[in-house]
Order: sequence, then C-alpha cells, then structure tokens
Amino acid sequence: MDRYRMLAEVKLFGPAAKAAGADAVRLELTAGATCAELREALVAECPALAHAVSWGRFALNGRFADEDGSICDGDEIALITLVGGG
Amino acid sequence: MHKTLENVLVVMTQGPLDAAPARPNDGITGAWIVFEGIVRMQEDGLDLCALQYTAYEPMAQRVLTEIAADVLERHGLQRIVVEHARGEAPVGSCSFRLSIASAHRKAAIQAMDQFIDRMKQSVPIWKEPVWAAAPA
Repeated sequence: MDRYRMLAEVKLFGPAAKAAGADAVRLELTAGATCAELREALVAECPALAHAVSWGRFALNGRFADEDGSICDGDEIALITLVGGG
Repeated sequence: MHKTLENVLVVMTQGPLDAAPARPNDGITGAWIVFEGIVRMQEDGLDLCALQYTAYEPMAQRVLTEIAADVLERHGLQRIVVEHARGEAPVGSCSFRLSIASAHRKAAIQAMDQFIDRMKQSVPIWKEPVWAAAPA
C-alpha cells in the first residue's frame, strides 16, 4: 500500500526560530517518514534552517528521537538546537 | 523511582527567581548546597539589560526531573530542588538555582557539577541576550 502524505508542523525555538523568522514550519511528509527524512524535508522547505538542522536533534512528543525514528500523523515535532539553560 | 521523585522538585518560574528554598532540618542532611546562576552585566564585552529565556515545555520540566532523579539516585542524595526562570531575567537577578541536600559534602558537590553539565547538554531551554544598546 502506498504511504499517504501528511501535514506536519515542526516547532522552533531559540536560534532556530530566529533563523526561520517563525515559531514553527509546516511541511508535507510521507506517513512514517524518519527523522532523517524530516531533516532533508525541513531544509528544503526552509533553507534558512540548514545550520540549525545540521546541529539539532528532533523531539517527538516531547522526547528525543533517533534518526531512524518514524513520525506518525499528529506527532508533536520540535527541533532542539544547541540549548543554553542555566 | 517513585520514592526518588518524591525528593525531586522542579519549578519553572516566569521572570527571575525569588528567595531560595528553606534549608532542610530533617536530622539526616549534613550538606546543603545552593548554586545560583546570576545574570551578568556583560556578554562578549557588550552591555546587557537582561537575558530572555525560552523553554519547550513540558519537555524541559520532564528532562530536568529525569536528570534530577538520576543524579539523586546515583549520589544517594536526600533532596534536589531545581528552579529555572523563563521569560526575562534582568542583570543581577537569579535565573537558575540548584539546591541539593545530602548526608555528606562530597556527594553533594559532585552531584551539583554533574547535574549542571547534563542540563546544559539536553534540557530544551534557550537564552538570548537583551542588549542595553543595539550591537553595531
């Protein structure tokens, strides 16, 4: 069965939000896409995020995800770039 | 882990932090260490008004809790209280406080360092300088 396309929103914070000029980017993904595929799709959708995406990690539903972690329709996605608490 | 979580408190506060939590008086704690992060007046030689903190919540709260619980267990601590500002923290104010209660000094000091190192690697909190004058 063909994998359907889904609409995903990637939340942005700190330097990534500044680079994109937005708190989130919406893009289309194939259902079940991996974080590695999301990385490519996000840069294609918003080239200004290339640097942040190359350094950052994705969180799915509030937990860090592996590169081969697959994304489901409705998942909360966040790009976590270099953090600076404290 | 349930017992551990009872001894961990994580608080995210809008704006700078208030006074430190009270020192424990439980007859077990022999060391009570409080670290406070204070906003400096300069960053890279430029004058600051404040630091602006953004957090991805509730992930930030959950990761802080997980690190605190792990550090508490590893070092056999009595209690950890983590407080972090979000929003604007002016120069001179306290934006982060870590309070650790332990039976002994050495464990508390090691735990303090370990917690802060781990926090700076993985807790989704970002800070941005608010400059006193726009950089040239």
